[in-house]
Amino acid sequence: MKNTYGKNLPFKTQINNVLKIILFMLVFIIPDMVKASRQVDDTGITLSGKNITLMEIIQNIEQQTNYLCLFSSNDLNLKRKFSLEVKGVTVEVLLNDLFQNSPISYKIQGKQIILFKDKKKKKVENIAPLPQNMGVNEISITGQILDETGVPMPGVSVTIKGSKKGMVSDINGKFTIQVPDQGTILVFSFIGYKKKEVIVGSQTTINVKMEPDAIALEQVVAIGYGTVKKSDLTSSMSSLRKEDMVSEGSVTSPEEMMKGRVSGMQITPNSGEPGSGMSIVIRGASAIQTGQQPLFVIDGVPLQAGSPEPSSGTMGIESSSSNSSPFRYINPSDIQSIDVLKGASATAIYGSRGANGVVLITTKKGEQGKTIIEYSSSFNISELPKKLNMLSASEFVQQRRKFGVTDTTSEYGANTNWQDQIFRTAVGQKHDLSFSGGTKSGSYFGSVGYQNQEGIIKKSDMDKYNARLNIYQKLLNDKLTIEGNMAASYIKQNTVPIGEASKTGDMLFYALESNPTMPVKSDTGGYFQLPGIATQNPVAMLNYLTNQSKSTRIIGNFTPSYEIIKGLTYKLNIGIDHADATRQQQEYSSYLPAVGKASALFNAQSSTNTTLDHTLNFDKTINKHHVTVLAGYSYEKYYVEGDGGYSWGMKNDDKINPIYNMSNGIATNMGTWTYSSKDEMQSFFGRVMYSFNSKYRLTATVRRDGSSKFGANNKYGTFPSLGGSWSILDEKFMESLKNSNVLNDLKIRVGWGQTGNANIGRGNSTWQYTSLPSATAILNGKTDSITKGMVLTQTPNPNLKWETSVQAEFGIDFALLKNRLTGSIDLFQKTTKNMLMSVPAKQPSPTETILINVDKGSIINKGLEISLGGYVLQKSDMSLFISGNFTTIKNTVQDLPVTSIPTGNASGSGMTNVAVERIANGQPMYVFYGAKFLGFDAKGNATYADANGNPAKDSASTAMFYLGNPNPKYIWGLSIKYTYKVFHLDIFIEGKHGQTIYNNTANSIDNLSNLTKQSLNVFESTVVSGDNGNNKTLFSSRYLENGGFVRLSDIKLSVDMPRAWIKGIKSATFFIKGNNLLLLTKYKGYDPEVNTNAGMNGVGSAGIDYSRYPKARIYTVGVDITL
Amino acid sequence: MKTKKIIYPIFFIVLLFISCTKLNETFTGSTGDVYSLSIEQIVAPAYSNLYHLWCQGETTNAAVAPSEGGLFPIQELSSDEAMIPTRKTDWYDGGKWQQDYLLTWTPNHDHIKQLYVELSEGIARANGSLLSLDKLSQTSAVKTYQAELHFLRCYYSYLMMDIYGQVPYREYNEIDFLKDPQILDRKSAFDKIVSELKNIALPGMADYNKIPYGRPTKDACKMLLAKLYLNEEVYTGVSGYKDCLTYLNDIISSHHYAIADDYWKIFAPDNNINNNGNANSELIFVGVQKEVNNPAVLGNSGKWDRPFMLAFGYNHKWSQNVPPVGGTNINGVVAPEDFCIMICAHTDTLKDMRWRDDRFVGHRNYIYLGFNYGQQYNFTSFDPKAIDSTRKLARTRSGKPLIYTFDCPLLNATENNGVRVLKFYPNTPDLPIEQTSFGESYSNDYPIFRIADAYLMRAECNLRLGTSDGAAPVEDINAIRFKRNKNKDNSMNVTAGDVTPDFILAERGIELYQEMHRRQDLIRFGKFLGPKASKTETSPASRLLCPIPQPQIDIIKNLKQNPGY
Repeated sequence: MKNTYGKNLPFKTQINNVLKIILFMLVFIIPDMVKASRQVDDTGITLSGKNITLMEIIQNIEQQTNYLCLFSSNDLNLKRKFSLEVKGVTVEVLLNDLFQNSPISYKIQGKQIILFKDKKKKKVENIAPLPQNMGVNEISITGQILDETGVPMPGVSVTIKGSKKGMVSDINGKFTIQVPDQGTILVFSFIGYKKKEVIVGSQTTINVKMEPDAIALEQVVAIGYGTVKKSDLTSSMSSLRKEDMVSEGSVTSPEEMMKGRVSGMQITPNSGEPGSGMSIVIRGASAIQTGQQPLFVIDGVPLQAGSPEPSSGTMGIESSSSNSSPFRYINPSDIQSIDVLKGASATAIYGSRGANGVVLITTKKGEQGKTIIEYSSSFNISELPKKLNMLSASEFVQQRRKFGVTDTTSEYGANTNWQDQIFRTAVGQKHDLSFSGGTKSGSYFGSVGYQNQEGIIKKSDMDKYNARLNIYQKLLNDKLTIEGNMAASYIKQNTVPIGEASKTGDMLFYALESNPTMPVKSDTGGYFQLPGIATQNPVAMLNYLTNQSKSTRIIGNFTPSYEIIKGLTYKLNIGIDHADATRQQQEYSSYLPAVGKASALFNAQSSTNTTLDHTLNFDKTINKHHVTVLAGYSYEKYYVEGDGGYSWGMKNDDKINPIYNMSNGIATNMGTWTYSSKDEMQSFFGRVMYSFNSKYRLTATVRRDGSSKFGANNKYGTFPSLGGSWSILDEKFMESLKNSNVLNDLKIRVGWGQTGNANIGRGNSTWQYTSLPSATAILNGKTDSITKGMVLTQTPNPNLKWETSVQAEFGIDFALLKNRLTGSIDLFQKTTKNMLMSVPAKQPSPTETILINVDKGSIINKGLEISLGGYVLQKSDMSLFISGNFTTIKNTVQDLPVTSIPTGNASGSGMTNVAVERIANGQPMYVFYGAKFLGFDAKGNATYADANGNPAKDSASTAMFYLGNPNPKYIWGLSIKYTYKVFHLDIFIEGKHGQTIYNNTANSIDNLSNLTKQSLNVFESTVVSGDNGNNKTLFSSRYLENGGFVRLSDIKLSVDMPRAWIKGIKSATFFIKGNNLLLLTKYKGYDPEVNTNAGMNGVGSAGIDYSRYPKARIYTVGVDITL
Repeated sequence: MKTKKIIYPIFFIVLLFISCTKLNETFTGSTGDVYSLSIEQIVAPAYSNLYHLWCQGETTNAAVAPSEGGLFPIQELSSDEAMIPTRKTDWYDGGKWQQDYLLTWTPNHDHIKQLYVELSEGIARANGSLLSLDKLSQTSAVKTYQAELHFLRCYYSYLMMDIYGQVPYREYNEIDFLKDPQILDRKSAFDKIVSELKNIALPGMADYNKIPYGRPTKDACKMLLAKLYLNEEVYTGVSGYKDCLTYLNDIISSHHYAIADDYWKIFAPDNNINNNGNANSELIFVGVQKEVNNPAVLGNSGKWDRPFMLAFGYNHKWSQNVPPVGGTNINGVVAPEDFCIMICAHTDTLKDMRWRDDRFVGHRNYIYLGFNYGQQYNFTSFDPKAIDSTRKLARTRSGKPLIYTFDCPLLNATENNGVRVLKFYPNTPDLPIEQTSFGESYSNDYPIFRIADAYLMRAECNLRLGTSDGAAPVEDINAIRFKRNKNKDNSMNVTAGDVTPDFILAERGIELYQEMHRRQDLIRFGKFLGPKASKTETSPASRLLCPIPQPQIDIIKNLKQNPGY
């Protein structure tokens, strides 16, 4: 028998090798690089000569190394002369020599050398002081630097613009500096404060008041194919820096880090399983069939949208419905910043993929002059926050009697809480080690990470290995820059059988509804499994059904850029995103429905996305005009191939894994399959940014995208955008307001843009014939041979194109109260048109539906986003920073060409193929539609409303209503950061309100007649609900609940170890942290953040809870150490 | 400058990458080149819809409802033969099963929508296969298939005309599926189908026994023509009984087929071979089925799935393994009370093997073929290895004895309510088919047309016309009754005076139970709209047709909804 895995092995080995190489480099090569980089820094100093002044020596140090010397000329006699003969000495050696007999000490901080008079050094300089006036025409300037509250500021660096000459203010904030002439500009800078420039002019005393920097106002943000200063933005976007996100402990993917922290962005985890996928909706649900997932770009490489793992097979054996995040391959600890582009004037640079927003992830880079080794480690334990109350065994028996069940044969004597049997207190750990550093001309960042996270349901866990290497080097007189980023990760994940797609049902659901008198194990030792009933022993399911995925993903890019002439840079970006994954599923023979025969299934998938970008960037400032022009070409190719196999009928003794014995199955019950597909995309794009006087800014972009997915008549689409901003406070007429220091910044932004959504499969525009199981026939009369027909599965639509999203926005950025409070308000309207929809085909047609762009019909999202942040308290040893975001969105569907599109496939007995949601005109997306429940009558019969709202006489007069909107009306997040000396307290609270959610789990279990069934239990609340147990399961408002909640999602207390305690290391911080500690909600299920995939016919759903892996409560302890 | 010398060539080389691409895509499957395919691969899809229509189970999920795309909900549940009541919380499913029975369909009813798609997909697949065959060299094999594809297209169109009254029509070489189809009303659809069958299909189709079992022969085509003429009065107002007789006499006098000696072998899992290695003599045209354990491996997603499990009680077993351990019966379909009473009045239930047959009772199971009622029994052991023939009471979920009763309300029935019928029975270890386990689907081929139906149709035509063309009605009836008598004697025979239209309808009821004819028969006899068990009101005449599905109305401009919906 041929080994079915043979085909994949060489490639997998290859990837594992890459992983190993990176690990090797991190462990052995990078430490050497660290050494090397220090040598480069320090060996540079070679000096010889007689009577060299201290000034000259300092200038030499600055020239030969990348250090900048800061000093007060009051302290130093710059004209003091030395005779030296040094070669290849370090700065330290040189400085020690120079000042060994003087009261001067030095301190190296980053790339600065601070020289100061050290009172502890008693020895007096033995050379007489020289006259102060040392230069011929030099002017001596003195002054004092005060902070915004008038307190003197020591340590402020005062430099002469255009030279490296400078010093720092003394303890009283005072400084004295010699400047060459009256045209000299002095630059005052201090971290956290705005840089201030003062022209000397005729002054000899310059007193300066420093202003704190508006929070991160000058930060640089990624905008796609480039970066821009945040103040130069003309469109709305949100930037998360390292400190704005959590990356420690149980966090497994970047989405989790963003959750609740970005205005306009709704993130809902698909399940509480480790590494679970999240549904992300930016600025409202805007697509019926093409999905809401934004485009993720990491260091310039667009990521494949789907999960690289093959989905679980539903062919006969167990599968899990919960999908995993395709982005969990990125180590959260490697992320430097996440920039979320929301407005169309920003996303349009990504053209046909920009409609759902763009998430730009930038990973950490080494910093110049800093050599940092960081180690962080954390351990967590997690638990189920809330159990659902089912009847206990004694209550169960008692209630059965009450309900008239006399038969005791299905009462088995045990007292089992099935939830306790499947849930556990899970543990997790995460370890990260990184090295980074850099010189004037290059930098590196390397990291390795390991994470193991158990799920709160037994047998579910994830093991993750990450490695990353980012390098950056300038060559050829800094004209050529080479950047390379490479990350590899390996994830092994075990999932448990949750989800109705599985053959024998849903383990979690069974753990709720199983008869509590059934024991876990039978007297004979095996699991207690009852024949002939649908409900399986959930513990047996956990042990006899396995589903494991193993995947390797490599994401890397190589980006050289060359400055052709000053201001004009050419950049090449070659990127690859490759993933290789297998999934193995097994059903052991001891599992009762397996009837003594094991089965196994595997699926392997390999996918590669290659990117090639050429960009030319031109940057020019002429007087007050600043122009940046970008022109680019991009080519992308996505290739996926996969294979799989199935075998049934192996006998095994539960110690042999069926997956490794597939050749022993029954010959007629084995099968294999293969597939592959490829698509290409080619784009031309450009962007012009113009600003005048840093007051008026204009950004225009255009992208022309061509995709192989589109029909022959519409291969290319053009996506333009325009945005502008006006810093109104910088106008003359606002001067008085600005000077009042109430309002410090006010910027108005407007933007408009057209983007696309082309998230459809391949082969949608052309003829396609496929061999389908539903197109087979027996044509030769012999039942042992079946002809697999080739069937037309796709009729051509040459007009097929992207779906268009037009968005207009208006925004204000402001800073108030001496920049202590900053914020943005955005109003937007996003309209989706030319929607890509599988509409019913005009029969007779070989397909049931056909994918077209519907001419009429639109989805409109109107919304308001507010984000605010500011220091409530800011003192030298204490600060309190509070920031928050708030979003409200109104979503409406209009002018659909069809009456309504049903979706929201309910689950459970009597609910087969019942659609509980619809997409209908004048309603929000996924609005619930069904009967209105009025309560029970005296006999316990359910009554529903008729068209007039009165109790309906019979089912015929029961009216259907729009029952509620599953999309939250308000979403908010609140972050509180409090620092006192070495203590830091970070709190993050989030909430969603105004959404109606459907408790489908309850609808299936809250059913008194379950008590008559052999295997089923009910909620404690069921027996007092007033229901007589004879009611049919009509979908109604009965199980629609208010999904609003407030969650204390993150609280972290960290302590920086005092320096004295931790000699030899730069810093050490210990933290304890809790996730999901408190949840305020009226929802009766496990958790109101629900997102069971109940889509129908490719149309999504929202707000349905059916047997969903509950979100854990997690406690974490950890340490971050910097060497 | 030295650096420039290096950089510019590199720059030039990378620019070469830009050379614009044509944007190609590839995917699994083919973009339409049929030359590499076998003829069978081209034509198979058109045949596969036959299986879908009869499928009574779903393809991917085990414990679920009968296929909603099949004929069963529309042709059987709407009649007096079968219904699915709600049982506590089970079987409501938005009310669709009960609406089928009460004829209260809406244009958005799932079964209405699914069957429409299934039938029109069958038409479209036949069209697609015809189009592809045009590209091949016209061998005699190709020509036979072409005629069969025309037959299949007509068969699907006939069902569409019968059920929906309007037929969307495209020529087979019409490939712009974004264009509206031509809509044929019932009369023009009838004419078009009859003419295509007579002029194109029939001349090209193979004679009896000249093609493999399972493919339609000239006899199948004649039977379809006979069905069309039998119902012509309903479709167009013009009587077609004479034309019908012509085709029936053709088929019967050919002696290719004979009424089976053993009624139950017609529906056996091995009905393809159980007559000395030949197909059952009754079968004129069948859908060939294969027992499969895993649909992903062996295809035929239109599984002929679990008619047994659909009907029988949750805890009631056919044998140790059916339903497979871990699966469960879903206690759905029952025979309504008044139908059972009518049959009891119509035939001698002690002699008529169609009512019930005990050949398997006490023989690894306690279930009758045919109609099951009263106390039910199970084996004492579920252990597949133990052969234990001791019976024990079958019980309901709450542990009470499982007694199937005649009466059965449509809403809120108990587990006991309703007579359960087993016609297409599962395999048993006693049957000669080599069997390692019980599959998820059955290998019973389903009879689309069979000879007893032809005899009954001939009797009906002659009765309506007052003629004895071929045979007198009573002769045809007795020919059947003789064979259906357990004692194989004349004791169940009737006299000419007994043979009334009502008698023929009842005889069709017992003979052709659950063979997807009942709705059509009731309409032809004018009995479709009236009251029946759990239905007190007479439905409006508009219910003689099903509504056109709303999605089609939404997108096809010239498609008008049938009146009354």
